Formats: sequence, structure tokens, C-alpha cells
Amino acid sequence: MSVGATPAAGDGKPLVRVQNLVKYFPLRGGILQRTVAEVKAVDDVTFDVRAGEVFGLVGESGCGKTTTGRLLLRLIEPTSGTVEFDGRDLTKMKSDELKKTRSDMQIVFQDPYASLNPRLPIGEIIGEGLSNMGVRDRHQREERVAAILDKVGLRRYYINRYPHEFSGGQRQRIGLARALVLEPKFVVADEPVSALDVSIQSQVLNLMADLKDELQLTYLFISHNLSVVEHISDRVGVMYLGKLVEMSSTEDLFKNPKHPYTKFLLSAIPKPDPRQHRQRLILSGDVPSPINPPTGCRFHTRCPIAQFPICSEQQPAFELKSTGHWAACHFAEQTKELEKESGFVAPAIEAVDEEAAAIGQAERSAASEPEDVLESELDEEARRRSSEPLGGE
Amino acid sequence: MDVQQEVLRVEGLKTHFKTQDGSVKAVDGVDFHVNQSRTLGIVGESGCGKSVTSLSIMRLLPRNGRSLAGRILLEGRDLLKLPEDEMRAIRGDDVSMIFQEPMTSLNPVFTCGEQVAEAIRQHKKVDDQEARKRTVDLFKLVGIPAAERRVKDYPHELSGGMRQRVMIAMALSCDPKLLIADEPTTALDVTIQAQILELLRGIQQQKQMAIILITHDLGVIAEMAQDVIVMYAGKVVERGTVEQIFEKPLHPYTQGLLASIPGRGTKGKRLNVIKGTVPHPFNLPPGCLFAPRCPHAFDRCPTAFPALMDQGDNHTAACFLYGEEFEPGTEAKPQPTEKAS
Ligand SMILES: Nc1ncnc2c1ncn2[C@@H]1O[C@H](COP(=O)(O)OP(=O)(O)OP(=O)(O)O)[C@@H](O)[C@H]1O
Ligand SMILES: Nc1ncnc2c1ncn2[C@@H]1O[C@H](COP(=O)(O)OP(=O)(O)OP(=O)(O)O)[C@@H](O)[C@H]1O
Ligand code: SF4
Ligand code: SF4
Ligand SMILES: [Mg+2]
Ligand SMILES: [Mg+2]
Repeated sequence: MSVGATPAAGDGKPLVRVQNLVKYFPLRGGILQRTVAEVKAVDDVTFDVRAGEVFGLVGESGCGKTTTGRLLLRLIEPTSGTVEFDGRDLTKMKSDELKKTRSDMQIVFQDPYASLNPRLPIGEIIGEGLSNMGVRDRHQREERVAAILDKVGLRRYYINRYPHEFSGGQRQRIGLARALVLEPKFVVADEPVSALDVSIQSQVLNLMADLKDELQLTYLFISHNLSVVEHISDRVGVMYLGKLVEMSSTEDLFKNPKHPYTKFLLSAIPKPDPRQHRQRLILSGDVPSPINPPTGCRFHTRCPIAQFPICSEQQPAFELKSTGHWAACHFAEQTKELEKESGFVAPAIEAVDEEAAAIGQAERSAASEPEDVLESELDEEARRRSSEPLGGE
Repeated sequence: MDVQQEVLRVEGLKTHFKTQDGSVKAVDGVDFHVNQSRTLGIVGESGCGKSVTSLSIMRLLPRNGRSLAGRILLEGRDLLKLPEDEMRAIRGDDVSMIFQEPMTSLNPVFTCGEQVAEAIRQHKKVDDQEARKRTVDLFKLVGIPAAERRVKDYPHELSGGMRQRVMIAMALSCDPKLLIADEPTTALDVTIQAQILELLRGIQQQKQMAIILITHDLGVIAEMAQDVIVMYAGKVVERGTVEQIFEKPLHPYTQGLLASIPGRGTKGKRLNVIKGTVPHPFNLPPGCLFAPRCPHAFDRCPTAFPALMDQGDNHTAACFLYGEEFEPGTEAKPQPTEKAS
């Protein structure tokens, strides 16, 4: 872990401060249902979310984004580590205090279909939190529900309708209304637009931006869609296998990614520009299992510039590499040279690049003992093939 | 664009569904063609008829659906007129399809290798040993590492990306002339998507296949397709080369879609929005189906559905901003006089 300053300390007042957060889910088996293994869903993550910002959290499926979001609201208990909200440690709060604090923190879910109770009219779905927070007066409750419906752009007379009568985009507005009716300071939005078509997605993104300004909200915005995150976030954190591997301002992250994994992620985004047939970096293999993650740097089984044995033995610290820019890579400063050496970045012709990448792959596989469950059984020839989509026949 | 290179031509295709509440015009007059070694992208939002179009080509529609008009010409032969047994021979042989969710299309109780080998045996006269050998070769072709061992795995033992590779291996087992890929990467992470798209591109070059790539992701279209059709509510509203569509979109719907994509250029700005939502199939507006959402709609728009009109270089759009032509029979009728003729 980093020594001294925590990521983001120093500029901007943190609203949420996450320190060394860990969540292992036990996997039980056998007749005694003993813990046979653990899923290391979130493994020692440290970051701040500053008041008034949109903090984007990206990474591939299963890397721990949702678990992080739920831990921040203490919807699940951490294995260890702390989450401070507005200066108070959430993980130590008793239920009374937690309940009070919860009204300041809300969550919006990905699936606008599954997350709304189909048997309740939307007025009740949205008003539920108000009754839980002790707003007993029915009239008062309805007034507040109607007001928030206005804000999210739904008509007041929808109040007695049921979720199935609404389209996906409208349901996501209902989800937002439910989260915002308690006037929270902090909202975890977990893939809020992933299930929506692009024309509806833009409506909801605009709405979220408007509401943020109007209600002075702070968002943790979780998404696997990097273009959406680039659009809406002030800062971005990139996760890989339960670890935060990079964090910086959005602009800096997209312009000067420092971690090799981030470079792959950015390169994989399909760009809506047919003339820009870019040199694409293709990451080979799959994400290893979070039950038995690779030793050392968790990315070393797929990293084209990995250096052995350091990368497979020593965990890189999550450190400040330049102003406001954090990364966890032993070689973040030397990526350019190492990329050249390993043939990772190649001339502008695609065919040549494939060859070069394949050579890089073969080189590193010769140098390493891969931990990845899938890849560990492979001989060098098969590894070379896997990085060569054409198979060469 | 040689005529002899054309693999598939779809003309005036209409596929409707019977439901309790009435008929759903899922595909309502669709025209396009695909050439050898080229990729046609079909793009449009959820429910616009992309999957129904591909299922119509494969003749794999659910029971309540029927293609009631049009022609689907595979190298000149009309698939809609073929008896089922001939169609079965074409499926998997000349035309293959891969679906969005590979898990639902693979049988969980057979190993991946057995399923691919079975597909080979169905179409080629080869013995078991030869089929098994070809299966391993196919697994290698689609970049499955340790192919000899992976053929013995069951679908659930593979990751999503690997399962999609198995599906592609199966689709390629008989060297199809046309591959239909319906959202082949939508369920996958971006890095895995990049692997699969690269794989498809490579195999296409090698085998000179025609590909129909269906997706709602305009970025994927821009990277993969040479020709594009944009669908809206069961109709083709614009058709052109990928450069024409992305650089000079004509139809207001295409323009709206392209402008609503978030990304670098939009940071800190409001995104463009297409107001409203796609119309419900039982509640279609009269005339141009996009009119209630269109920022340029004018008095002519609700009167009939505009025909696809060529604006030069085979770039066509169905919009009255570019001409007066309309599809015969789509005129909005003030009174129900439709049974007159
Ligand atoms: N309740 C649970 N019990 C056991 N394992 C869990 C549980 N919840 C999550 N996991 C595991 O923890 C890891 C992280 O999951 P998480 O849902 O946080 O990922 P994510 O980044 O949100 O992925 P996605 O993009 O697919 O939503 C995964 O391997 C997941 O299978
Ligand atoms: N079996 C069916 N019975 C009735 N209507 C159907 C049936 N199958 C599809 N439809 C309707 O046909 C229309 C087109 O559906 P289709 O699946 O082709 O959309 P799509 O463009 O593939 O959308 P998506 O992006 O969501 O996959 C939709 O309105 C759908 O509800
Ligand atoms: S620490 Fe080593 S393996 Fe990890 S990202 Fe950096 S170079 Fe690659
Ligand atoms: S025909 Fe009219 S409503 Fe339809 S897209 Fe063109 S301008 Fe818009
Ligand atoms: Mg998640
Ligand atoms: Mg579909």
C-alpha cells in the first residue's frame, strides 16, 4: 500500500474516504458447508470521492465494481478496511446512526426492470424511503414524490401507475426518483444506463448531469462503458481483479494512461469513426479467477511488458506517478521503452502488428510461469496461437 | 461491387407476427444485399427488427411469425420458396448464424467438441475421426488455446469469450458463404469483444465470407462494416457505405443516433437527445414512423411513408427532406376506405 498521503488527499474535500477496503466472499462446500475458498472480490482498495465530483469506476465484468459500490453504502459488510462518509467511519456505526446516514447515500441499479417491485405503484416505490425515514404524513409524502417526479421529467399523474407500464428509460427515471427523494448527498449509480438504447441513454445521462448540479450531488458512477464514463466523470478509477490499478482525472487517464491494462481497455473501445482504423491492441486470454488471483501484479499473466520475476513476485504499490495520477505498476515510468522492447507497440500495419504482438507473447511466455488457471496448462505453441487470431493456417 | 460477387439479396421482405392483440409488423419492407468478402452492418435500437430480419433469412422464425412478402435470394435462389429439407441443407452449410448469448445456443450436456463435430458430420460425409480432427483445427482457427484439450470441455467450463469462439467454430464448420452474426459481442467485455471482432475480420479475409453484422453499437459498425443499413420500427430508413453513413448521415434518425453517442467530444456538454421513444408496434404513427420524434418533421411527414430515395452514389434515405416519393399503400387515409379495391 501507499505510504503517507492517500490517493486524492490534498486537493478537494473528500466526501467519501475509502481506505484499504477488502471484501472476500466465502465459497462453501461439502456437507458441512465449510468455507472451501474465498472470492477476492475487492482486495485492498483506497480512494476518495470528493464532494461534488463524479467519480467513474470502470473495469471488466467481475472486477469488483458493484461490490465496491455496495461496500461504500455498507449494504454489505467489509472483510476489513474503512469507509468514511463526511468524516465519520461508516463501518463502525451502530444501526441507528447508520440509518440516519443512509438517507444521505443512495443507489441506482443497472436493471430498471428487476429493481422495481412490480406490485407497487410507482408513487409507493418512490415514497417508501420517505416512510422509512419517518415521514409519516401521507399528504407530505405525496407532495415530495410529485416534486421529485417533476425533477426527473415524469408527469405527476403517473404516480398510481405500475412499473410495467413504463419504458426502460422511464423506469430508470423512476429509479433515480426513488434514490433522490430523500435528498441524498451521495449517489452510487451502478451501470445506470447500460440497459438503455443510445437515444434513451443520452436522455438519462443529461438528466443525471442536471440533477447533480441542481441538487449538489456527488456520484460514484459505475460502468463498463468507457465512453459513457469519459463523458460524465471528473475522475476515473480503473479496477482489475479486485484491485484499483489506476486513478486520475478523466482527461489525464484517457490521454496518458499509465497502466498497461488501462491502455488495453482504452484501445478496445470501438470508435464510431470508420476512417480511424486504428492500430488495435488486443489483450489475449481471459481474466483469471478472483478465487486464486495471480501472485505479484495480478495483471502479469496478460501483461505484454511484464518483467520477471519482479512482476510475478511483488505486488506493485498504488502510488502517485504524477500530479493527481495514481497507478499500480512497477514499470509505469518505463512503459514506453518496455513496449518497444517487447514488440507491444508496432508499426502502423495491422498484419505486422499481429506478428510483433505474437513474438512479444512468445517471449514473455518463455520467461514466465503463468498462474492463470486457463493458461497454465498451455505449451508455448498454443500460447502463441492464442495471440494470433488467424491461427496461421 | 461486382454483380457476380453478390451472395445475398433481400427484396421487399415483410415478416409479421400474430399475437393476441393484433399483428406486429416486425419487419415491414426491407431491402438490402451483401457481397462476398464484405460486411453489411445492420444498426438500430431495440425492437426495430434486426433479429427478426436475420431469423427470416434463416427461416427460423417462431411459430407465430411469417414472412408474407418479398424475396430472399441466396446466389439467386429464393430461400422463401425452398422446401424445408432443402432449407435445412442450406442452414449451417451455405449460411450460418451466431447469436448474442452463446450459452443458450450450446447444449449443456455435450462437450463443445462433440457439438462442433456433430455439425460437421451433418453436412459433410466424413467419418468420426476426420470430424474430430477438423474440430480441433477449427478450435485452433478461432484461437482457442490448447484446442486438443478444450474440445473435451462442456460449455459451462468455458468463459463467455471462449464460448463465443466455440459458436464461431461451429458456424464455420462448413465454410459458409454467408455468416449472420446477431450481436455477437454484446454480452462480452470490451477487451474480449476486441478479440472476437479481430477474429471475425481475419477469418473473413481468409475465407472470403460475406458477413451480416447486427448490433446496436455504432462503434462496432464503424470498425467492422463496409456497408450499413439503419433500421427504425421495422423499416430501413437509410442505406449506404460506412463512410456515407457516418460522415454524411442523411436521415434525421441516423443523425440523431450519431449525435447522441457520448465520448471525448461531449465531455462537460449536454448530449444530443432524440426526444420520446420508439413507437409501440400496436400504436404506429401515420406516415413517417419517425415523425413524432423528428426535429425536422413538416406537414408532409404524417401523410405517407417516404420511399428510400437515392441521393447519389447509392446512398439512400427514406425521408421527405430529400424528395417526394413515398411507399405505395402507406398513405394515411382520412377514412377507412382501404377495402375498396
Ligand atoms: N454474494 C456473492 N457471493 C460470492 N461471490 C460474489 C458475490 N457477489 C459478487 N461476487 C463475486 O465477486 C466478484 C466481483 O463481483 P462484482 O459484482 O463486484 O463485479 P462487477 O465489477 O460489478 O462486475 P459486472 O460488470 O459484471 O457487474 C465476482 O467474481 C463475483 O462473482
Ligand atoms: N414471437 C414474437 N411475437 C410477437 N412479436 C415479436 C416476436 N418476436 C419479435 N417480436 C417483435 O418484433 C419486433 C422486432 O423484434 P427484433 O427481435 O427483431 O428486434 P431487434 O431489433 O433485434 O431488437 P434488440 O436490439 O432488442 O435485439 C419487436 O417489436 C418485437 O417485440
Ligand atoms: S507491474 Fe508488471 S505485470 Fe503488472 S502491469 Fe506493471 S509491468 Fe505489467
Ligand atoms: S420524413 Fe419527415 S418526419 Fe420523417 S424523418 Fe424525414 S423529415 Fe423527419
Ligand atoms: Mg456490477
Ligand atoms: Mg435482436
